[in-house]
Amino acid sequence: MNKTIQINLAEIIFYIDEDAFEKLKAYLASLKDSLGNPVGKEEIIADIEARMAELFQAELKRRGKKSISSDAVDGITDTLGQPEDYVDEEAVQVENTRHRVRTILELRKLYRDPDRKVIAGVASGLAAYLGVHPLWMRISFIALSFLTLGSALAIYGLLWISFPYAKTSSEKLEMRGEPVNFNTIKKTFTSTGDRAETQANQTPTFFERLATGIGRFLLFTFKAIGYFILFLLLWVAAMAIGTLVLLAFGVFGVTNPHILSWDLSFLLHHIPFAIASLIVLLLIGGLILSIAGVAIGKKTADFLIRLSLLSLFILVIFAVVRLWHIWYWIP
Amino acid sequence: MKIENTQAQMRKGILEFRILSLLRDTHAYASDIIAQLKAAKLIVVEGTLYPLLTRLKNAGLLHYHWEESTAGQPRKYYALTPSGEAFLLKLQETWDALSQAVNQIAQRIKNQHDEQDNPNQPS
Repeated sequence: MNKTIQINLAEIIFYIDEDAFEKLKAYLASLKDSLGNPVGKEEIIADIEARMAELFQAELKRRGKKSISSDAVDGITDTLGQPEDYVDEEAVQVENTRHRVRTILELRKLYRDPDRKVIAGVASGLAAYLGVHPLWMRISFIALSFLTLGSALAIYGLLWISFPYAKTSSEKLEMRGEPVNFNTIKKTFTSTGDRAETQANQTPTFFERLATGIGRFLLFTFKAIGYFILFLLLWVAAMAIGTLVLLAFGVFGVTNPHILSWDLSFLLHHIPFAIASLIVLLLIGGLILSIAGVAIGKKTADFLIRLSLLSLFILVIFAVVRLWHIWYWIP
Repeated sequence: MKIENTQAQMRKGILEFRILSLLRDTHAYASDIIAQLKAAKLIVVEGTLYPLLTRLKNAGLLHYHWEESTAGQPRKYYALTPSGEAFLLKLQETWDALSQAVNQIAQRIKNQHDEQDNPNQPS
């Protein structure tokens, strides 16, 4: 006896044996995986499913059967080919230039990182999202907390509440933007195991640790300065856009001495406004160039896109906090 | 070095050319195209064709229309667009030049081979 399942393939209803169904499901899943993300992926899959339906219909008629057996699925696989036969190298290139932003958005998700956390994993999660070392994010957060008179702390808290920990292996892969499949999940397991082992085996002396520590610190300082300046500029740009948005909504039309005296960072919005606009223009220009596939490296483009997304997100939070303050201070 | 890999590369190179030339005079359903390509040993399995057809369609070289079939569901029938014809013409030129050059070399190798086999006969 065999359990039968009803499926819909290209608008045609089939009965399929349970084991055959599992086989077919696995085949379609690995096929989707090996196709990658070319333009018109849905269409390709729809075409293949339509062809499968046709082949199944012919097969059932030939054998005079009512339900699809495991052998029939094997027959289909022989005719249509293994998942790797579907790979079209040219199509992948099309995807790179035209669908870059979409792929980037789909690939990586913002999570808090429990493995590299210091407080709540917000900075390490953001770092994974942007593809930088967590330390830069931590320094940025600390520096910004001073510069914005605490607003950055509020943002930290909001990010803490808003985003979950990456708990499962697949969530951790999503956080880092690696494709989630059997091989990569296996890899995460093995690599965490390896790390534990190396840590246990090596016990460097105090002087060894000191030497590498000093070396790393020097390298780190130079890099940190660069990243800090970059982040600061982008932050200011975000604030400038925020100011513009608020101006557009007429929020600052209400001149209230309370606001000015309460928050010094309010001044910070207007002084670097001209510089900020320029940076925003450069950023947008760079983004357009990278999407068009003209210039800068893929990694840089990725980074810029992520960064601008993130600043947009922070900007929204910032605007909400600001509006709340303004309403709060107007009696 | 595996000879199968080189053979596969050679066939792959002319696959698009062959598909476009198949669709020049007639519009065809994917299965028809597959049957012809299989006969020419250009593809082994059907799956290779679907991503390729969609890419050529998205590039504006092919278009399709739906036709009812006796089997049940409607089928996609592909045909060349004007820019597909222009594309094919250019490929045809390249192919002619290439095949001429390759044939000359192949002929020379064959002649040398024949001379070695029959050294007494005048060539």
